[in-house]
Amino acid sequence: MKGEGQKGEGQKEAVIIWDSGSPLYDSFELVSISHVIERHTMAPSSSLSLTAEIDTRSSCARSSAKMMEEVDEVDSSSKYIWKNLWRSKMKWGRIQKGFVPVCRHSPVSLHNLLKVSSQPASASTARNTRHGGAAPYPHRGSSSSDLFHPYRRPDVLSGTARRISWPMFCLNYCRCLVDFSGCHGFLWLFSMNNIEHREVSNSRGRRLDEEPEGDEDEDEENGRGMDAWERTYVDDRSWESLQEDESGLLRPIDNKSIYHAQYRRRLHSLSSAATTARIQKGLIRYLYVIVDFSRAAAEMDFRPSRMAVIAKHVEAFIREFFDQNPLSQIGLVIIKDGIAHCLTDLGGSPESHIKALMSKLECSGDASLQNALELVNVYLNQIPSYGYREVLIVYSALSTCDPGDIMETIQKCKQSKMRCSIVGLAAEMFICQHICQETGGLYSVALDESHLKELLLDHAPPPPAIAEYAIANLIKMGFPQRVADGVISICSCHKEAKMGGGYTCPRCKSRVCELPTECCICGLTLVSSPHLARSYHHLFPISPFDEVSPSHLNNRDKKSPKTCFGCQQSLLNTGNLSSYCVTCSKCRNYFCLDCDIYIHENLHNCPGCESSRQSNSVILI
Amino acid sequence: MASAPSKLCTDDVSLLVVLLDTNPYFWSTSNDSSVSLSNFLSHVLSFLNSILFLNQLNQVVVIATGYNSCGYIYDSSLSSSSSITKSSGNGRVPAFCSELLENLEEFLTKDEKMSIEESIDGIGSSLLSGSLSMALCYIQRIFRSGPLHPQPRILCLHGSPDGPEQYVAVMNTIFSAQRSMVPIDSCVIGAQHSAFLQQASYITGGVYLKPQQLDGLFQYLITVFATDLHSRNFLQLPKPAGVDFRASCFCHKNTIDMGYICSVCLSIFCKHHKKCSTCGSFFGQAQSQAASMSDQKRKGLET
Repeated sequence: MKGEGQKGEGQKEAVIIWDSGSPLYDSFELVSISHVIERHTMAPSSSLSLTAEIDTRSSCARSSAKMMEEVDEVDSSSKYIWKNLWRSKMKWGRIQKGFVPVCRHSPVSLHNLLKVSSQPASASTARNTRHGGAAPYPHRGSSSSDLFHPYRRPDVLSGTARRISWPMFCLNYCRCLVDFSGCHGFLWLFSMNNIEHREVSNSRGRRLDEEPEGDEDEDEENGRGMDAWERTYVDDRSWESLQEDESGLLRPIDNKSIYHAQYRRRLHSLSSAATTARIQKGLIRYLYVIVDFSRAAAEMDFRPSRMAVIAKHVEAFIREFFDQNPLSQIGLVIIKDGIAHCLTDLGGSPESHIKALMSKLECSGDASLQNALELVNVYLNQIPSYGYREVLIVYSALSTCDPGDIMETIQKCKQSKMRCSIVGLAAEMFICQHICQETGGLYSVALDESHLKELLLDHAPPPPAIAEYAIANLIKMGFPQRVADGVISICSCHKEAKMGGGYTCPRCKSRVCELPTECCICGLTLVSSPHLARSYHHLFPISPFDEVSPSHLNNRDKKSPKTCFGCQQSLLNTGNLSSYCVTCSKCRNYFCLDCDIYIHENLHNCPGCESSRQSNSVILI
Repeated sequence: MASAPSKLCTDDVSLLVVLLDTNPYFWSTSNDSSVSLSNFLSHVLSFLNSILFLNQLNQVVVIATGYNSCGYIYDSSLSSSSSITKSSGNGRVPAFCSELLENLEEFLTKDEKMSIEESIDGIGSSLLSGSLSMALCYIQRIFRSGPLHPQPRILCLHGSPDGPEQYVAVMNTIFSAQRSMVPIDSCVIGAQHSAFLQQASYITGGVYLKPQQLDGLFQYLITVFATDLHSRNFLQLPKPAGVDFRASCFCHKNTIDMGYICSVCLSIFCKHHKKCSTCGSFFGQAQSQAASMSDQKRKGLET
């Protein structure tokens, strides 16, 4: 490498520290590789059900003991940080590979670490007090915020790692800390970074470009740190589809059984939540989907890019949403260049939303949660009181660049009974968690593309109705007749003459093209009875089936059926996953796992209960 | 087309799930103008036979829709291929027919035993929702079997009147069939039209037919319902003649074209109530606010 010859005598010590002993890679490359590995292994999210835990206490205790021995030279503390953190970082990189760590640390080691790291930097508490509410661990603020201060560069760097750029150092230092302090520290550091950024942009106007160590540098570094060959492997993530078996061999993950296990877990959690006698759901929803098309959406960790993946899955979400909530309405908002644009107003036609979204696929600038929430809040305040106000944010940025205090906006949203849910693509952020907690929404972070899809589609079924969020009311609706074929009339929605098709509003006799909609002339909500019926299954859900072990199935006497009641598949030798079958608690018929999923996710009828007169005697309407 | 490679064949191979109405009350009340059960079965068996002969890969599943239960009575994929063509003992009826008839008889006696009510007024409805759900489960299994599965469709041969208590369940099956692109054809052999099957065929893109002359049932079946889905594009099939999508209110069962909907459970009422009879929620007075909102919206449109 070109930097090889430039090393002076004074840097000999640094060379010792940084010589990784590998003939192939110098330390810079190792840093970038470990950065790549970490970028993909560190996706901690508390809301996820994946809890592969590693017991980290023992390793931490050891490292903290070692730390205490070596801390005697105060002036070399900077080198100490580098040496030890680097080592432990490498170790961590190895441990973390393939896991989503849930970090647990003894407070001693954390404390020591912070004591050491605060020595080269002077405190700047004044800046942090303002954001005390935002930072969950204000006591750490004094030490680490200076890492991000553009001009106060700690001396650590001058002697040692000349070849590592400052933002790179910053990032890696962050990650070192993260390794020790767990996910919260990580998030918090990022939010500190954001706050700093926001302050800069507020006080000095648009002087971001002049900042020598702004976000741009960090982004550039991401691209520069990876070579083309690295990127192929990083994007492919072939290691994620493998798992280790008992003998240590690698084998592909059995997706089907995992899927079924996940599904059953979800089903049970849903049904336990809905055990109350009378289920009330918010069936008439007014949902704004906020899509983050800031610079971060151009990242390529999702293939081909986050933006394309988001667009694809938001489209699927919109279709599924209208399928499940035919009387609800969606509006689209995109965040770009720090501003929120309203792409489409609230409406009931999936096609118009999807068309509008697909025509605006470009991303730039920063993301601002506050702007988006303010905008949506204004729109959602206008909707009738019986409707449920909801916001779903698909957020890919790791920062929010806001013009004012976002906490006030969150309180405003809370007052206007908006339910904000966020699906993140990068990492868990404190501010997102806070928004969702305050407004009663769900916060989740996607691990990969299929997970993102799952998380988005989780928001399609209506949430349980909360009485104070919307007032029950009778809504006047019309059931229009279909216009006879061959009649030419002007439709009121597109203002065009059309032949055949379409529906006539029963109140003002104007013509609309599709249902459900609101009459443009008299404002009557127009639906057809199947639209109403489409929502009824939310009100009369079927209870989850009980699992039956295969041994029980084999031991049963001859007369009981050996095939699935629904699809006639044999329950005894189903090959791929023959472990379980399920039985309906009401009609005592046996079903295979595939039918179980289909019945609960799609059909919403139990074939067994429906095909016997006794259990069907409950008259629903 | 029979010699075409298997990839092309799948376009024309169809899986036909036939739902037979075996409601004893319906068949016992059938008078001279309609057809008797044995007559009806002979039409249907000839029809099924011709379906199996149209393409050797065609598959037929028959599900009986009884009064007390539903059950599979025939699956052509389970019986060996020779039994379809081979004649049974007396040499006049194909073996698959005798197999089907045996199962049907077994089913009918079982269905009769399950009966608990001694007398019912009128014909009573058969369990259409149950047999539709079973048919859809079977079709899902076919979808799972691989990319080269036959094209499924459902044919309801139905005579009993609709059971209003099955409304939600039937609607659920209709929407599920719509999502999986399975058309539900319906042939109504009873006296009056079936609103359920009209909606089912309209929503799923199937054919709804009420034959005028039940004597020629076989001819109706073979001209309208025998063709596979691809060939249907080239045929002039019966058009849906006005499906009534108006709703009936829950309080008086009147058909209305304007009404009030409960915002919580979407029950339909013909006039304003204080309390919802379905979900029990009390209604506030927000109607005026909603009206003003739509006023604002219209003003916004004009400007």
